[in-house]
Amino acid sequence: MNKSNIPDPDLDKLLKQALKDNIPPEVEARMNRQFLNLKRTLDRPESLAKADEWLWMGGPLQRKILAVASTVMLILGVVMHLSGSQSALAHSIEQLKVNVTVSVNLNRAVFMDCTVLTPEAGGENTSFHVLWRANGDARVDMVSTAGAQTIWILDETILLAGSDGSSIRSMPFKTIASDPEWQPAMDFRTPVLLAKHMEERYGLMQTGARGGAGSGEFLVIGQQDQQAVEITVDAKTYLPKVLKKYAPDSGRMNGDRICLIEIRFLWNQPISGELFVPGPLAGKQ
Amino acid sequence: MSSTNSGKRFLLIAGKILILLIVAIGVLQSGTPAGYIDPYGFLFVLVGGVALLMISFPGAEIWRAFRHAARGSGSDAEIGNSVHFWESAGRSFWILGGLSSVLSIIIGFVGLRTVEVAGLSAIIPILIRPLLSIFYGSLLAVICFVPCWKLQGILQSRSSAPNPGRNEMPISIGRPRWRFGLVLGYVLFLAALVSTSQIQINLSDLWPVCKPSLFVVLGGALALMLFMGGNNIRLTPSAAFAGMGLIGSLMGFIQMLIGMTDPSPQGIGHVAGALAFVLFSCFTALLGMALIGAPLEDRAIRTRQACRPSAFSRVAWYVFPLLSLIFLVLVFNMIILPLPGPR
Repeated sequence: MNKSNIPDPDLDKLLKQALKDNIPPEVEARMNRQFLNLKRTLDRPESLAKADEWLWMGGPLQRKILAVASTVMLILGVVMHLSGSQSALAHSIEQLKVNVTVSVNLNRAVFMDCTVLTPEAGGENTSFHVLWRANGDARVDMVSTAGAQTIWILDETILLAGSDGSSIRSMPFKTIASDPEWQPAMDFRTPVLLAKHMEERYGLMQTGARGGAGSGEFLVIGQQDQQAVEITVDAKTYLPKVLKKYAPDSGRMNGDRICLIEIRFLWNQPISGELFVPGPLAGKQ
Repeated sequence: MSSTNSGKRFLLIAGKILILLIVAIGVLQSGTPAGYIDPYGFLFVLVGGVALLMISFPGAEIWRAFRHAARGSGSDAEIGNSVHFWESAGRSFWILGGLSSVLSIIIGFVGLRTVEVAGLSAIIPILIRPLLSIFYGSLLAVICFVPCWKLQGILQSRSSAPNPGRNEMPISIGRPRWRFGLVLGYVLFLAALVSTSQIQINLSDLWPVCKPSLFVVLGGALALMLFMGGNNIRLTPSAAFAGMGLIGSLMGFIQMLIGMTDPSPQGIGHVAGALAFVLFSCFTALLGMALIGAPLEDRAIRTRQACRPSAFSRVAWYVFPLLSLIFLVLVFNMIILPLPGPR
């Protein structure tokens, strides 16, 4: 293209007329300010570079350090987590989960057969044999130095054999519940009551295989009125096998611990219905 | 004309007071107004939120934002900054609501070691406090979003009606310096965090618990940020923290399900460890977003490196605390769910 071919020599004038600058003055002022800011920024290239990245990610050396640090942290975190080291939080959660599982399984129990032993001074024991079934019927046999006695608990009513051995007397449940003679057995007369005690009274805080607990069982340790409470739980069924209460401070001075009460449980093994029928001879064990 | 306007204003104020009264009566009539009070949770959310604002904004900008919220007059750029301030305030309270809820459930479980009651009756109150914390967070967030929306409306009305009189603030590109308010903000936030936790549990109990998840989330977030590229202006530490928090939580849930296949005490130990990992992953991610991610993004906006928060950051800020709450409920369910019976 040759300059001589241009028809109109006053091209600048033509362009000015065609592209007339009619921008409002305030917009023009704003554009000028923006342009000046941009120019100022371009004069300082380091500031533009910084604008494109987070400040602390600066140079390549810094990046390498950060990359190494992140890798080390990731590996350390995963290894620490997978090593399974128990923490306070995990321990609390574990304890809660054990308690909840035991409690739910106790509430689902169909039959309970438990023996309560209360050692007394002079080496004599009072023992109670508690039988319970899911419809709420229970039978308690007490054997002590004074003799043997049996009661049946049906619908919050106590039935017991009369002194003549042939008649049956009934009385409100409260009379026996408050009787200190029967008290040890009354705390374990139903699985629901046992679950409630475990949740509300024993404050069970520790678990783990210890001392007497075998491979298929674990110990849950708590406290009630300063007495140590130890429950051996079956690891398969999550139901208690043995519950023991020890005297306060016993065993601290390397001596034998004084067991105040020992309860042995058998769960969900069918119990003959005859045993729950009140009567002097019915279902005699 | 002015008397009509003042009459309308009085009516508006009276209406607002009436609405507040109705809400207050509703709360009182619900039966247990004391049940809505958790002083530790509220103080942590409030003080922590103020501290986060001090970290992100200088005092002059905070004062200006309050002035704009009250009067609504100022240049477009100034009002734009105030809109950003109020959005950040709402976001901070919302994130802190989530953080406080995770913290209070952790404190609740760790504190159970010293409580006599150890059953379901002890667990229920532990879930109430996290819900209260998120309630306070969302309440304060909504209060902050009101001026944000109001100022946004003013900006929109101005852009539709050209006004030659208004002026623009010059763009400032520069390296932000350490301010006194920023240092004070961090100190205040950490003081609130430590004192809230220390009052209720021994912090030495907490440190060994959070180490694994802290390393995983922090290391992972750092790696993500490096991979995403330092030259990308849309690089969002908040999104990286949220992403790693999610990954950590998923790791925990997978481990928990594996642990649940083993109904022995060892299995329960695995389940408990996994649930602790989920809780601390959420906690670390939220803490990272609040202390590192959000202030960095705010600084980028204030220094005009970015014109608005990235969509990834917004998703991280508003969705992850909600996700944490869902995880808390899941963790809670997992604890009260008994293990499957013997095979």
